Amino acid sequence: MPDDAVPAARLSAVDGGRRARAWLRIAAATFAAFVPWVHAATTSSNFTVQVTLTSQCAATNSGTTTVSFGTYTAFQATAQGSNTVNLTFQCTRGFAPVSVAFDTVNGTAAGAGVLTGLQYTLTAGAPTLVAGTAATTASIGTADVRTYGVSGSMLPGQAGTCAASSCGPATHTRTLIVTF
Amino acid sequence: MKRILIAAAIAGAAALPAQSATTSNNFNVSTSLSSQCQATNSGSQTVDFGTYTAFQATPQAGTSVNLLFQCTRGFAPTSVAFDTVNGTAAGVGVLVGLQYSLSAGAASIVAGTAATTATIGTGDAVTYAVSGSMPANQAGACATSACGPTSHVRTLIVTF
Repeated sequence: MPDDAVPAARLSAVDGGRRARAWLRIAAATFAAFVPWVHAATTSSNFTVQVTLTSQCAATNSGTTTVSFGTYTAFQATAQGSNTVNLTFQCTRGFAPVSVAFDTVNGTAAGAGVLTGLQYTLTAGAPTLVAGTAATTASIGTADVRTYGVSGSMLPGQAGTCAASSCGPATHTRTLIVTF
Repeated sequence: MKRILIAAAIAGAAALPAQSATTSNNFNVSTSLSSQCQATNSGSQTVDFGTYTAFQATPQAGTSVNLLFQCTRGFAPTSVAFDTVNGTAAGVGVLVGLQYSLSAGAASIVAGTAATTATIGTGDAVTYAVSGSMPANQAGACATSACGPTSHVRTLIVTF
């Protein structure tokens, strides 16, 4: 049989195959119209994202709190306590300050100071820690919050300095310095 | 079947060549082309955010990188997205507790040269500039005074 002679049966099979493919194309096109991503292909390119983080702590309620000794009566027999103020700092998660001290502008680094001739001493307790939430792709997260309770005491038997029957309330500003 | 006879006379030829004849037979050349795009500089680029100082007041920008793809001439990708292994398809991710957002600019296309009988030509060069930004006022996560440089791999996925 010559090479170019195609039997009728085979021709019919070829036509049948073409028809089937044509229907398949129509069906595929119809399907693709509703689900266009079926035929999508992708290619990808890798790259690196890089950062260096410098850890920090920052005061969050600076200037808004007052250690109040109330009214001190000269030569009183008992020490005069104060309220406790909570000084809060936010720090990089997992990063802890190494030490705290008071300013030396209105007193000593250890917390002593003088107001209207009355010596006082401040103390800062160990900080409490509330761990922050981790950053996610939906949120930048929150910082670790460290809170130092600061309270004061005035020694008894102090005369004070005041030209009138009472002075005050007198105030000055102290600073808690956190080293990290 | 026709036979074309060509008579050639070469003037001044010392020896006359024998008469030559040609015949031709047409046929079809057929191909189907499946258009493609592919990355050409994968893995060699870094979006560098430098040093982020915790709680900084301004956002931190990263360097911009150009990711190159070559595509069949005239064929443009339909969309791009980022991997979801180290972040979101929209480009958000987290490094040392710092959230960042990547963005890919519109494709810049440099048309390739057409194939000729002398050269196979070149693909269209499709470039996506990817840049990033970190929101301000982030705490980050680091037990020491500094961490890094810390990095991970992201992927730009081009759909075509």
